[in-house]
Amino acid sequence: MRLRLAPPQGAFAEPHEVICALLEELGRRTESAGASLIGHLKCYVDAPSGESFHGSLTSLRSGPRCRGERAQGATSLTVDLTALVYGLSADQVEAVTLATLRHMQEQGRFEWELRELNHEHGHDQGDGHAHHHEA
Amino acid sequence: MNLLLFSGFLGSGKTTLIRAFAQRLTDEGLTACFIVNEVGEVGIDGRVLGDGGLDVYEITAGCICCEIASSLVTTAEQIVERYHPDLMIIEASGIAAPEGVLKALAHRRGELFQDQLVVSLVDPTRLEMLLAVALPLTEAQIGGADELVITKLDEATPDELAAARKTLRDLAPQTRVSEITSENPDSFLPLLGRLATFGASN
Repeated sequence: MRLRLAPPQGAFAEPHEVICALLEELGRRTESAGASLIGHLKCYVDAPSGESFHGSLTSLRSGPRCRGERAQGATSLTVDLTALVYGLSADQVEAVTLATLRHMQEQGRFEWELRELNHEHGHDQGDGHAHHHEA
Repeated sequence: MNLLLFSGFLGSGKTTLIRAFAQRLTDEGLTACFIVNEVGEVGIDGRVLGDGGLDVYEITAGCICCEIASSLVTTAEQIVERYHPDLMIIEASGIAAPEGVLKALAHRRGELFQDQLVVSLVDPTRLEMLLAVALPLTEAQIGGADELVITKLDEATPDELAAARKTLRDLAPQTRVSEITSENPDSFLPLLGRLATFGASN
C-alpha cells in the first residue's frame, strides 16, 4: 500500500525512527494476530526533498532497520509498504496494517492518509511453493 | 552472457548481496543487467537496487517461477537485445523455487545465455521456523542451489548457526557453503570473487 505520513506538527526530526517504529509495531501486531511467520515487512520512503530510504523487518528479535538517506526535517513521507506474512489472510494483514496506522496516529507519532491499496496476490501451493499474504 | 540467479526466502539478504556484487562487477569492468521479481505490485527491492545506480528491470505482481514466467523470458530477451551484458542477474522473489525460474528460461539456454549459476541465501535466525512453515519451498531453494550462503552471522546464535550448517549439509551435502554478514563487508569477498569469475567466464 502507498501511504502519506505527516508529522503531528512541524517536521519529522528523525524519519528513520518513525519508520522503524511503524515496522516494529506492525510486526508485533501481525504476530499477536496469529501470524505463523513474518516473511518480510518492508518499505521504500520518499521525502519531499528528494531524499529516500528503505526500511525492513524480518523478525521482532532482529528488529527493524532503515538504510539510505536520513531525510531529517521532512514535512511528509510517502511510504510504499509491503507486508508479506504467513498464517494470516490478506484481509487480516490489511486490517492489522490499518489498525497499526490508527494506533500510531493515536500515539501522536504521525498522521496518515492511504493513497493506494494493492490487491492481494496469492501464490500457487504446489510443490515447492509457500503460501503468504500481502497487504 | 551468463545467468546468475539469486534465490532465498523473503528477507534473507538477496538485495544486500546483489548490491555488494554490483560494486565488485563495476570494479572488474564487467557489465550486468538486473531483473528483480517481487510478488507484490509495489517493487521495493528494485528501487533499492536502483539507488545504487543499477539498471534494474522489475517484474512485479506475481512470481516468475510460475505465475508470470513468460514475463521473465520477455524481459531477458529485451536485455540481450539492448545491452549484451556479460551477466544477467536475477533476484527471484522470496517465495520462488529456483528450479521454476530456470525451467522458464531453459528453452533459451545456449541462445540467450550460456552458463547458469544459482546462489541461494539462508537466514539462520529463521531457518527452523521456515522448515516448519514452508518446508517444500525451503528444500527447493537449498536443494536447487549451486552455491549456498548463510547470512546474518551477526544476528544468529551459535546454536542457530550450527543448526543451519547441519541442515545445509543434510539437504545439499555437495554444495559449497559461504557465510556472510553485512556488518563485515570482508566476509563477502571470497564469494564475490567466485561470482565475478563466473561472470567473466562467458
